[in-house]
Amino acid sequence: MAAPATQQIKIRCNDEKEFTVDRDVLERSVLIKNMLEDVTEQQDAPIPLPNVSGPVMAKVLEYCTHHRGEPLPSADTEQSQDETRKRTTDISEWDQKFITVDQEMLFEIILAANYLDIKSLLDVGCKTVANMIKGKTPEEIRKLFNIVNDFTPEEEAQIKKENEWAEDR
Amino acid sequence: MAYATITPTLTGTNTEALAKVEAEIDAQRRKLVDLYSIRNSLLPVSSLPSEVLSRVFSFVPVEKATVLSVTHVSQYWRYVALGDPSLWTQIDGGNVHLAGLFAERSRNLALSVNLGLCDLDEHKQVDVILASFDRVRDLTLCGPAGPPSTWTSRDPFLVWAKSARTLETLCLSRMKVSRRKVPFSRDAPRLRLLSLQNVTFRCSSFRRFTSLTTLRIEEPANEVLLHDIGRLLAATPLLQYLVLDRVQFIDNGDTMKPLQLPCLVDLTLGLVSYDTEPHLVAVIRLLDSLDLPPTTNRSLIFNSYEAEAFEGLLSSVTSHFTSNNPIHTVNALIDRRFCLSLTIYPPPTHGMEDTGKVNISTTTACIGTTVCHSVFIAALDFLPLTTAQIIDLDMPISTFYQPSPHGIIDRFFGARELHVYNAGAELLFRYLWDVLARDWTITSFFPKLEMLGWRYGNLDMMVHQESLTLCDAALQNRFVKDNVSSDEMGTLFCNFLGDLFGSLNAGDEESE
Repeated sequence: MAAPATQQIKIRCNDEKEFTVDRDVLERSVLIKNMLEDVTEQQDAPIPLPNVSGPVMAKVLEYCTHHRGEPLPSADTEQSQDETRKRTTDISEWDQKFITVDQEMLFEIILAANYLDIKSLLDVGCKTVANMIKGKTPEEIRKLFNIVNDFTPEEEAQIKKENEWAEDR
Repeated sequence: MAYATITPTLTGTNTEALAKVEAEIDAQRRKLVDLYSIRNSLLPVSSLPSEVLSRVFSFVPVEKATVLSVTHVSQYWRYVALGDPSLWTQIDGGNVHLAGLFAERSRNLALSVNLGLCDLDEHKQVDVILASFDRVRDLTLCGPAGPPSTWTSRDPFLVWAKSARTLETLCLSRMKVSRRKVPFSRDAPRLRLLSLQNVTFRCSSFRRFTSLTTLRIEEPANEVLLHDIGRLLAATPLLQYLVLDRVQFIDNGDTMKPLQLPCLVDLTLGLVSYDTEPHLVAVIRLLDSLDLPPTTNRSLIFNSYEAEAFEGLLSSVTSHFTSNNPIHTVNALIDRRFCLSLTIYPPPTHGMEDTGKVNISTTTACIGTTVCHSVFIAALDFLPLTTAQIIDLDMPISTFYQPSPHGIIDRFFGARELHVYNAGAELLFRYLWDVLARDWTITSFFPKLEMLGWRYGNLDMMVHQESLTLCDAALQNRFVKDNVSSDEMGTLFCNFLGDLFGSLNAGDEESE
């Protein structure tokens, strides 16, 4: 029998930071939802989340709390999006404000969303990075993420050819 | 090794030393590349695992420049992007090598191909596409701009002589289609959109399109037998959208078999006639043969008609039917449900943009800056209007509707709503009060600034209307153009009505 929505669940991050959160908020994470469903008896021990730090979890919980009660994307919709490749990079106003963080935190949130299996948050993060990339040259992208050119001479030659082909119309 | 001591002469010994140095440089360069890669791997962005970075790329537009960009950033990004075939499914122009590269990297996924066929190299592209044709989902081929003599002779239908099993949309422009070839000889079971623009073709070559829902034939270079159009339509039982635009029909007098298109949602016959009577007759014969659902939207679009010329055309066409009254031909079009919407674009006037048009439908009548007023008035006789629109009519209405300017208003009485956009003061204040007393809902009344300066006492009728909206969002631009803010306009109008009420009350008191 499903537990009441108001049940409080404890989680512990990799920096020992603990949070006590409403179950329905935590269940935005498919990982945690599955863990809770697997546990038959009520446990007081916090759920360990070894891949997420306290500050990142605080951000993730902020997102989950804001979006609590919204329908979770089904596997079907996910698959059809993948098939049609007609994904939009539109991000809602609240989400945009939420995800306006420094790069390090942005990637931490994406990793946490991936680990916790929160598809909607993962997409917000991925869309944000995609929007940062859009319309930029490789050199501009490198500068944006502090990447250096690490191509071998053979790869450089191939890239040069591809650029020539792209310019030849 | 002391590199500086090597002298730059190409003796046998020095060549050997040079090779050693170059090998060392190469090794160092590779070490440096390795170090760069290690450095990159320590960056925050590199913390994203390949499946997540791939997901990021999935939100990047699948277009040539962007896709190539992400593969030219770093080794890791290139590795991830090359590992995602869905990034490479859109082949859009480019040269033959690039098309081949995309076809290869997309592996076995469905392709969308858009090619302009202008020179030999691009014909080679077609060969590349042919090699992957069994997975092309969308195909657009466009020949060079110019007269038919310059169109590519490459027969696009050769492409699927074998099969078009995966094809869903096909758009061809400026191409000749051989008379001998039979496209889709093995069917195109998934084809749902076929667009032929400036294509020389024979309808009789086509087989059955069991899934086709949209068919657009625009300005074919050759004349098309009416009978052939009928055969083509007979091969499309699930058709929902049909556009026949600038098709030069030839009517050989054969009996048209009745055609059922039970799914048709929208039918547009665009720019039907090039001012010649046989075309309109052919269109009417074609339409007569169609058995369409009553809910199908039907539009007939005429081009470049002076009012007199149009009336003349209707007169001559009418002689083929029962009446000799041109107005009755409009009636015939409507009665036969050919024409629930009739749009007539007037010829461009010197110094004016070609924006004016008459649009008549069962639900809407719109007067624009047009010279085709008599057709409009005639059609109004037969249309159960629910909405009337007067748009961009900045001249006195009497200029347009002589000798009976009130005639047009009379015909509006069936309508329940009136939309007035940017209509001139003359129109509003000389004629509209006649109808404002009726039980109409007026929306989007939009007077220009100078209109508010006019004082016509008979505007009192306006205040009895159920609703009166000064403007709507779409009309805000007009305010801007007139340099009048909506607030200012509102104030002006309130003042105007206040004055009006004042004068009315004063008039009442005097009469008492």
